[in-house]
Amino acid sequence: MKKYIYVLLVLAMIGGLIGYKMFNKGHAETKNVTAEFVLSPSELLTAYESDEAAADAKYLDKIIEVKGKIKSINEVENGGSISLDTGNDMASVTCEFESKDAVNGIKIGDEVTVKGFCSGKLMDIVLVRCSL
Amino acid sequence: MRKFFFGFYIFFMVVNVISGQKYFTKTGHISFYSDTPLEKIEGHNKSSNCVLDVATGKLEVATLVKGFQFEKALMQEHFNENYMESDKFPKAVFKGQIDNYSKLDISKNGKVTVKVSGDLTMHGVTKKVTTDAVVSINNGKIIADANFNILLADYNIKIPALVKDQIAKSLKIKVACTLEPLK
Repeated sequence: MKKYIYVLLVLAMIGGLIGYKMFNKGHAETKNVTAEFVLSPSELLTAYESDEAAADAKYLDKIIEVKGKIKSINEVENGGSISLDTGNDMASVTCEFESKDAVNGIKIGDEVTVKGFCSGKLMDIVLVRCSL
Repeated sequence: MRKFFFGFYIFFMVVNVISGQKYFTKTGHISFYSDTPLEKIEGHNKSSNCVLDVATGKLEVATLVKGFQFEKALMQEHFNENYMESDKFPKAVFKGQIDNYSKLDISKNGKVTVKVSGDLTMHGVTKKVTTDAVVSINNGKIIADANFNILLADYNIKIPALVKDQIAKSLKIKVACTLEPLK
């Protein structure tokens, strides 16, 4: 009988440990995931401008890969972001990075390919947790 | 012909003045903090938009709910799926004004505390919000900081009984924006 209690205890401990690990899990690295959609910044903007609800339904939370020219580089607290040119002055595609290092070594005018999770559109379309 | 050009000139002057009165950012930092003895939760959004009309003191802040980043993936999932329902309500928007607005002098560096009030819409609910904000002018840029609290119950966000001790009923919201002139 005692043996079973020990086995049960060990099992409970393992279960607890797995639960704890899952609870504390960080984010999946965007780098290692393949993009679900590959399009240009202007195509993405057109999709959002013609029908925002439909674009949200299609792209929200999905990993999108865009290739474009860097219009601006912004430093934000504990991170950085870049804006990609869409051909429209008022709206660009903002790509947010989790660390400042990510935007080191690139400059305005560079052509880059960025992968990130689409979080929707305000003035800009925003991709978060990006990787270059 | 001359009149025509004069008209044109006036038109562009007016356009210039109007466009020169708006200040904005696309990289505003909005964060929230839920603080209970059992668990501290915070989420950050660094791509929030803010537009301030310095002629009237009207302002608008908008943020994408899915743009909030958490330390733990599971928290972010719960935040989006269970609490904010961000597929249904992807944006949170504040529309309001600086009360008793007297025109900010952008040319001089300085700092003032103002009262801001307006409507905050999120999770499909619109509520009045009033807060103090610190506005400083620094070399032609406007830096705005505000802290206020909101009640989750006000926005129809329900906390399951199981986690009611882990999630604060009142959230602290922090807004920090550096606004530049809209060209």
